[in-house]
Amino acid sequence: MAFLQRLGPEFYDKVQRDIRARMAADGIDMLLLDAADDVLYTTGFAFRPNERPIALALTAQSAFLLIPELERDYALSQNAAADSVVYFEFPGVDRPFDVLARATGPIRGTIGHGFGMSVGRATELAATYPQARIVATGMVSTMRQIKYSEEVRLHREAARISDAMVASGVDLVTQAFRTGKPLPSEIELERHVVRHALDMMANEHEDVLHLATLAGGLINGGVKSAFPHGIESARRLEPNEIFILSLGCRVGGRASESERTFVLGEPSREHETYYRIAQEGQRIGTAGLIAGQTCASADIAALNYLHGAGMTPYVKHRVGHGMGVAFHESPWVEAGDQTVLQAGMVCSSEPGLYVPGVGGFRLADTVLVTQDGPESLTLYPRDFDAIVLG
Amino acid sequence: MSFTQRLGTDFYVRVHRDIRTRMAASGVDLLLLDSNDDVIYTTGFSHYTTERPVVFAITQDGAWLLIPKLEESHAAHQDIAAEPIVYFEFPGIDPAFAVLGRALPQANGTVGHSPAISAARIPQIQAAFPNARVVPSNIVQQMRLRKYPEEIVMHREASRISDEMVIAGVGLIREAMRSGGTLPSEIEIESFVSRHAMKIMFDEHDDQMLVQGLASGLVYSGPRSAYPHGMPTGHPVKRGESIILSLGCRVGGRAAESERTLFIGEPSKEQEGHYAVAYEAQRMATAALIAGHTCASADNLALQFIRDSGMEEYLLHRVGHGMGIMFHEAPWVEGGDQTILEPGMITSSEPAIFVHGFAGYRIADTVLITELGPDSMTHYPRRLADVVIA
Repeated sequence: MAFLQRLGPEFYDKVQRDIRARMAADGIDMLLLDAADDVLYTTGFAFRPNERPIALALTAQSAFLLIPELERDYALSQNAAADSVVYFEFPGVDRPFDVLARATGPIRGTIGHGFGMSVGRATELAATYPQARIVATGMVSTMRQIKYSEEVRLHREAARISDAMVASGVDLVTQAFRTGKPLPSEIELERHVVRHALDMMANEHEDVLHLATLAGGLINGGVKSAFPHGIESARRLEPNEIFILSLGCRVGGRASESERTFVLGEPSREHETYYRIAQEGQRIGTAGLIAGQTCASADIAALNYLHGAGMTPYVKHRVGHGMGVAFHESPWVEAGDQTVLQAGMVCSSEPGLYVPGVGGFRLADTVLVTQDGPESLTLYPRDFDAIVLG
Repeated sequence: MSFTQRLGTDFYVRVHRDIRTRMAASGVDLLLLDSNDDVIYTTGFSHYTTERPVVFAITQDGAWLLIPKLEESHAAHQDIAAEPIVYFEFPGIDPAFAVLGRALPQANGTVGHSPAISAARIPQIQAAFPNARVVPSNIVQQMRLRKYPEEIVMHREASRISDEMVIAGVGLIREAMRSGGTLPSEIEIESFVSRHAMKIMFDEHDDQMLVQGLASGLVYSGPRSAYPHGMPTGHPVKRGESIILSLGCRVGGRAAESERTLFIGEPSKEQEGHYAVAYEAQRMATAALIAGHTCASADNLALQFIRDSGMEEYLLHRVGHGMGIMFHEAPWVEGGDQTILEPGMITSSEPAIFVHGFAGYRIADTVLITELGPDSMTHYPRRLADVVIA
């Protein structure tokens, strides 16, 4: 009854069939995807990206995976859903794109590539296929916004584990606090919760899909938590201050995050006031994730509430972002994104407050947009009483 | 007497001056750099990369850093060597590059950008500077090939700590073998050595530049080590197998790696035979990192030795790569890279053999090119007797 992380060949057949339908509609003869997340999405091949190009080249008839020699066995062992085309090295005596061009043959029509491809690589691509017109296309990014049911199942499991990571972090801190031991440092906490997630996967899942970031988090305590994206330090937590556990993982290469703000010991009146406003802002953010409405509308509703509550100096970012193969991907739950929300999208809801000298206040959930309204896949408690630890 | 990771203001003044000299020589009026590593190199600002643009902009008269609101306090805290320009969010009602275009003096001449910039950002730059010619420029890539003396101090310290990580990993395995308990898993070893490195930095350094990948490694044993870029797993290491500890860290944002292949118990004749070839190839490769010679020549020499030893089928990659802010950056110690080695360059030396289904054998050092020849900054011993854990 163990959980299966890896998606089967029929899933990738379906993905590639759906991409081909869009290619035909847009007049694209070959699509080249060189981002690690696109390669995972289309072939199931997970790898550690570096300067060596790894790309899926998809045409109406063929699917080639361009890889360096050092990934040949690794791609085979993962049953990558494309035929390997192997070059020896980067930059290479026999250049990677030249090796690919020999496999695909000349292309006379249109070659599309993702918007994330670097200008340098797009230039090489054009030189390799001199007869083709090269265009950037967002078709796969758009497809990735709406999850297949197989993917939703993975996001749901990732959400469950993200919640468990928060719970294990809370346990570690409260145990130390109650027994009078030194409180853990941010780095120790991070290691502990990551370890917990990896153990859960190792014990409960059949076939862990190893990625560079399988589980991770941002942990910031005290006044430093007022920097939304600080990197954790060896600083130990202290009683009576704020700390934020922002934790997430990827199951079968599908992301989730669960984030809560805690006070260890005695909260101040300020702590409670800011927390309750942040909590209400987040409730509004989540409630606004309604199929048929725009991403912008959810952001505006939550941020307007925070502005109305007099919090303008402490508002530093939008409500959230899409999640899928990557922790951050489109659509963006932000006033500048007019994407219409649709059932099957997965977004974070995480407006925050950052009060200099006091701390940061942020809750984040992973939310599935459904026909029946927003469904939070992360469920860790959030009432003020639940986040005061002692 | 403690070690300082942060480079001083005078360092960034010099970097900016040297960039401006090259801009004048190549006719670039405004240079835009949007990669995490170029931003560290030019401003000392370390951040967690997301989809939100963070862009360094420099002209003959000024230097700016475009950042999202949520990085504003973080940037101020890091005392960055550029004037901040703040936009609210991504994608934004007022998008990042539009804010940049208004804040900077309008460029009528040439705007350069790194070749690594994504295709999606080019139209945004063109729209922000409608009267300018927008071209790729590798000025800073070229500068980064040769390190400033202050950077070499960082790389040397990162090398020392990388060696300490190997020592800690070996110690952990040796302890477990002596006590007769179960041997640690790859994930446990990775976690242990990363923590060890961070502890050294926090105990012995006055300040830390917190970057993504502060300390980490690849740890793989037995047949899994034949996949050179596999991810660590929960498998415990086993007696009779070999293990690769490929460990590195960044000090002041400057990288080093130290890697050894170690035997868990006395090696067999077969293992010894494999190791001897990897050992000799790596010795030859390091010895060939000579100022005035090409990168290709060092690669060709070491790889030819492996082929001549009858191990061509086990050869999966080049000799090495440059190191700087990134663990992997130009130049590439590979047959296709005709870059001439110069004093002040830092590269890895790590030719290897991977025996499919059995084991991988790799030794990697961080090597500084000097007038007097290659100077390996990592020193962990490597003779067969030194790498047997019994």
